[in-house]
Amino acid sequence: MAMRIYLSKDLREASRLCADDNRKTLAEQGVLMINLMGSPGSGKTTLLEHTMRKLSGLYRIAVIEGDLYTAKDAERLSPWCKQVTQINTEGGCHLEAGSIGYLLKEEALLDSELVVIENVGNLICPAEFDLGEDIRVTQLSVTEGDDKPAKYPLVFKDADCVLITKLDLLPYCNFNLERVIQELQIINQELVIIPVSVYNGEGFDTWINWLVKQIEAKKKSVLS
Amino acid sequence: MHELALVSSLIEAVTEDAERRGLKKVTYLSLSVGELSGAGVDSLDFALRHLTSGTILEGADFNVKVASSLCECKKCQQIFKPLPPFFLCPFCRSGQTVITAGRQVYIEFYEGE
Ligand SMILES: Nc1nc2c(ncn2[C@@H]2O[C@H](COP(=O)(O)OP(=O)(O)OP(=O)(O)O)[C@@H](O)[C@H]2O)c(=O)[nH]1
Ligand SMILES: [Mg+2]
Ligand SMILES: [Zn+2]
Repeated sequence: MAMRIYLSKDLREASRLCADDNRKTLAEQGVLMINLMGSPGSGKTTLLEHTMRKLSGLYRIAVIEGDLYTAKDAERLSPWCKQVTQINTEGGCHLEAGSIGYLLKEEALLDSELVVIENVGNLICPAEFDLGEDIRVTQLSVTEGDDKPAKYPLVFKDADCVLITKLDLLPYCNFNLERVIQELQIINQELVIIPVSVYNGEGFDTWINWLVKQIEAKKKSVLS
Repeated sequence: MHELALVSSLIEAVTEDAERRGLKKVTYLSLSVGELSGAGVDSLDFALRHLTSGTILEGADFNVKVASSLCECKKCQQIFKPLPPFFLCPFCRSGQTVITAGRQVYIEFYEGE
């Protein structure tokens, strides 16, 4: 006999439960987790290389590299970071909380003080998948064009921090920095916006100081 | 762009539920897709047709509905229909708004026998 079954089931529910689980685990341990997003080539790995170089003597840091097929980014980071784990999504356009949760437990990443996830280069899909991170950082490089916040608003609206990268190239690009900052502030008033160049170092210390503050706050939240 | 992943979890969820009820076949499925979910109706259709072959959902009819979005203003508490790209509150012009509906993708119901 035919029957109709009302499931009312959210397809991302399983993923969201995993994300909540990750968040809880991280909170218990006082580990800060960052989800770094941005277009392909916006400079995510380069930023992480410089960030690790600066902070790996100060904190125990683990990096999770999301990539479709290769381990190229993980290899670039390994000189600076002892704990680099590669997830290959095999064509998948985003990372999911389930695989992050597995790594947190199996790979002893919870011994770290900071876990950074470099998401798959993409401004659309990663925005829809909570990984259980404390902080979402979205990158926008000046070479991508200043229309990107308007064209892909959600990845900026959901972010806690936006890094406007490759600032050293600003003189060569028709990128209206002021307008982009204004638009970002409209999309999300609580957003921390840091223009940065890893090549000439502009803004880099602002980013590092902000990051250190977040790590320390998370550590303290466990002690109190 | 992540329609394949969504449809895979859909097949998993429906198969599990249908098997638990002793159903042999799923004949109809109604899906609601938020207009801000990042999932496209055409791609979902395509994925549904191709990934279901060989599963309990093979040959089923699919109805994919687009659900409209809602926003709530954190400043003045009004609820309104958000307009991308900036999701501004039409009442107080604030950008401090949260999207409360329109990003979900969910199975409303299915029919089986
Ligand atoms: N001029 C300049 N170039 C930069 C800067 N940061 C990164 N780049 C260059 O941008 C290119 C891409 O950088 P990656 O760090 O590989 O970018 P990504 O976001 O990790 O790329 P995917 O992992 O493929 O998504 C490289 O050639 C970098 O050298 C910067 O601050 N200034
Ligand atoms: Mg990279
Ligand atoms: Zn308002």
